[in-house]
Amino acid sequence: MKRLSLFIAVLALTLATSPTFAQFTQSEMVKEWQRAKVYTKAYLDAMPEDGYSFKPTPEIRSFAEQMLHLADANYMFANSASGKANPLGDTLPSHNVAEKTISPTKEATLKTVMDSYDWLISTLWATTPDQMQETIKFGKRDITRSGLFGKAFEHQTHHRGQTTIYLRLKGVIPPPEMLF
Amino acid sequence: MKRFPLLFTLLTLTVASRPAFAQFTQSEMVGEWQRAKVYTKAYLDAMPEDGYSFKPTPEIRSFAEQMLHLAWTNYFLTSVGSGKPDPYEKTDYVDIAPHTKEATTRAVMDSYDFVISALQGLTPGQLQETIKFAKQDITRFGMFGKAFEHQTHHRGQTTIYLRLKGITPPPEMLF
Repeated sequence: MKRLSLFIAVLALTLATSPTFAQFTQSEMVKEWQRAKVYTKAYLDAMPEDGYSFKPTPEIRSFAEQMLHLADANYMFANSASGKANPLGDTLPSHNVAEKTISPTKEATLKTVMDSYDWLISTLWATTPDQMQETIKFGKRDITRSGLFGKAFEHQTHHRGQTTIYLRLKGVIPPPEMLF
Repeated sequence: MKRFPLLFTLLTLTVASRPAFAQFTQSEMVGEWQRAKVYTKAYLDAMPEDGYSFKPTPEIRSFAEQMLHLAWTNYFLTSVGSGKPDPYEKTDYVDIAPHTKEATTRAVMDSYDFVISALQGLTPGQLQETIKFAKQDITRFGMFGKAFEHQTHHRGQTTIYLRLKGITPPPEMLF
């Protein structure tokens, strides 16, 4: 009987403690990133070549620069979150290497942005569930690896969102919101 | 001694099974929504009263309409995710508040409070339940994630509304 009560106690502990952490799984996150990639691709496809240099106001990023910034940030966040070497380079300016070095044509931008999603997704898969829970430093902040992938997701949503209005101003109807 | 192997087995099981699911916690999610609320408030504050009716192109939503759509959808997706009744279920998003700066700001802030209290009101067990939404299987927790993405997307769009009105948008508040 002692054994049974111990069993129940440990089982209760298992059931009681695991749900407080049981939320987004790694495979769910990968699926969300795969969707995000398709979603951003629809935006890149929708903008005609001559819209890639378009800026709604002169002081801000062009459509191509927004998208290349998104790609740079995908690399930067995935590099920090996974610990995998950034294929764009380790130096600090890698933060905006694509934005500064890639030719802002439709073809080159599209390829760079798609590559950034593929690389991020590969680092997400390669990070073990245990590693995902590790707390790391990002700048001066403490954040889990998983949490940092979440920040990366918000970042690309924010910048893709901005480019919706670039499309509208170019007379293009944006792709429908692809939340699913 | 029999006791220990059993304890050890169960303990190993606990530790081993947890990380497969242990990613983003409820309290982290609440923290993210609290930040999102402050972030959107900065946008609402940055736009002057006369910009609330501004549309970059005539066929799309005004700044106020973008923000009220964001608020309406916060209620809608939260209601789906939590089971809490949606107070605006039968109201068109443009009608949930007057399109003034003050009324829009209040409606948007209230919608975030609705999300946050619904999220806090669910047990971890409930958050993991799978529900149906638009023929898809999704966890309640996942619905809050979709709602989060939705508000990020629409706030993002309004960045360019601010720019076109000559306003420097609030800095990106990812943290």
